[in-house]
Amino acid sequence: MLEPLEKFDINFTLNGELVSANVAVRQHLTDFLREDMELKGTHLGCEHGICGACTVMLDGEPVRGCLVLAVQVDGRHVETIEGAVSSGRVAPLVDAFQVRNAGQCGFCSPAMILTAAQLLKHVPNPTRQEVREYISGNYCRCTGYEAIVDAVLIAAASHAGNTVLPTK
Amino acid sequence: MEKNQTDLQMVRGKVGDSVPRRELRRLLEGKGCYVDDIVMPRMAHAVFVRSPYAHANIKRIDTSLAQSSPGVLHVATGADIAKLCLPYLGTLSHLAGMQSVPQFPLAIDRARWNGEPVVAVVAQSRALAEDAAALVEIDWEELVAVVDEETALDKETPLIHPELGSNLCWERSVQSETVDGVFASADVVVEATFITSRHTHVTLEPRSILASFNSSDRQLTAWQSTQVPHMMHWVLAHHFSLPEANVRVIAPDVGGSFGLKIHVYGDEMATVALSIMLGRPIKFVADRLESFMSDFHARGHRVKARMAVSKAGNIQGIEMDDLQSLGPFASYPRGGLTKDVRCSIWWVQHMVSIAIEGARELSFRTKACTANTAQSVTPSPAWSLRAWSIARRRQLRWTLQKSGN
Repeated sequence: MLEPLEKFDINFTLNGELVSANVAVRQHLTDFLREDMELKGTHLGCEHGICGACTVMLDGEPVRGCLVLAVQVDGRHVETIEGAVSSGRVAPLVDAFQVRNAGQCGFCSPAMILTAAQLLKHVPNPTRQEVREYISGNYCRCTGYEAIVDAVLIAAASHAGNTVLPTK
Repeated sequence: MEKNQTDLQMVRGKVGDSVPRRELRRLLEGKGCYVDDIVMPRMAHAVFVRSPYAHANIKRIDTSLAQSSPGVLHVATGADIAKLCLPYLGTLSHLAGMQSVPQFPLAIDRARWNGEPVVAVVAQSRALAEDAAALVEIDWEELVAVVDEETALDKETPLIHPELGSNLCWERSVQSETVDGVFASADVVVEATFITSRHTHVTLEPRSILASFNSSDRQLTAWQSTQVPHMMHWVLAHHFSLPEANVRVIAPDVGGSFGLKIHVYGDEMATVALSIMLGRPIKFVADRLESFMSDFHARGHRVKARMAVSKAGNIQGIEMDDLQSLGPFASYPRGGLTKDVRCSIWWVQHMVSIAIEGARELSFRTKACTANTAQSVTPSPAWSLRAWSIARRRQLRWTLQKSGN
């Protein structure tokens, strides 16, 4: 019978850089990113896959970092808020969130922006309802949803060169 | 970025305009700094073994297996922590008759709510500390739990603190002299009972503290997710018997508070004690499950209200009887009753009577009882009165119409 593995070697791309690491097999991706990779922009709110504060991009799709084991990213591409900000791809959203004051304590914000960016990638001009539905997996306990939805729509409108916000 | 700065300058100074927050951008971009983001040399991590019972005697604690678990630096019981931290009492001196008992950071001999911290385990990582915490053996003797405020004050209900002789924490009664007469002679008396469920605040960032005690110069620095760093400065200095000049409390970015992070919590005090004990930085970040068990609750009220009304539809008198459970200890250092006090003062001043259409005969009773529920703080129950008066107005109108008046 094989002894259970305690550690596992992984190679993956993190924010565009190749990374090799020896990770504990039980460690989830967010703990690995925060503790081993020192990327503190990914937050832990519940570690139950509920709050969405730990959202990161895995091969271009948003995932809950607390529900993915670090070993699962072997050979794959991970992008955190740090990478998305550095590349400039979420700049219109950050601008819109700032102008609309769509953040209070800020704990949910980086993950909220990654999720919103994914929506705008697939649906460049969403309705309010579509925005609400898409960010429903990201909790904002300061309950600033109205401003957050506005900000996503502002970002969408600025991209389309349109400054009129949809109301429904 | 430059364009943004210009935009900011342009909007500033326009009264009524929305002004973007300067610090928001770094929070949005994941460059904030919350307590758990701070890492220090020689930093270790604390986790807590919590009571699985609402009320139980602690017969025996065996930490030997936990002590020898990989990465473990220290295991401390309530008695160990109590040697370093003066107990705290959540009663308020201006509230005559309010009673509670001194509280220690970790339970000693008896646990009084499900989730009360009992044993602290310090290890090189949170994961290793959790492994070791699972190896702490505690022999429990389960006791009858008092969880219903309706029966908490009955004679046959067990006492949570026998030395107090009662489960009553505080009581206040205010009434005008002729209120009974008004109810006796009223054309219509309507009654309603309002029950509001307990809830907790659920900040997205859980409670967190990083305590660093430098044993060489006896300086204590605490990075704490708190609303009240100045209060905590005094609390830590006083309860750890340090000069205030030796204590510094830093509230970095805080991921939501909502009134939750305004109280003194045993696990956070124990984390400070452990830092003093071990002379190295100790971090404690609550996980979500222990947040639900150990964070303060709010709102749990049972309000019975009566209203005396004339056939003309005038409200002549109001009675309100508010009952709530505060958990096993009055919260420290605010007591958890300030809103109720304010409410009763409002009654005395007849401010509420003005708000509710001229009633002049009033009775207000509030009772806060001790129970084996999580510690709680309370909002004013006045809202229920207001909501009630509006809701009942319609029913009353209907009743009066039906009776032909």
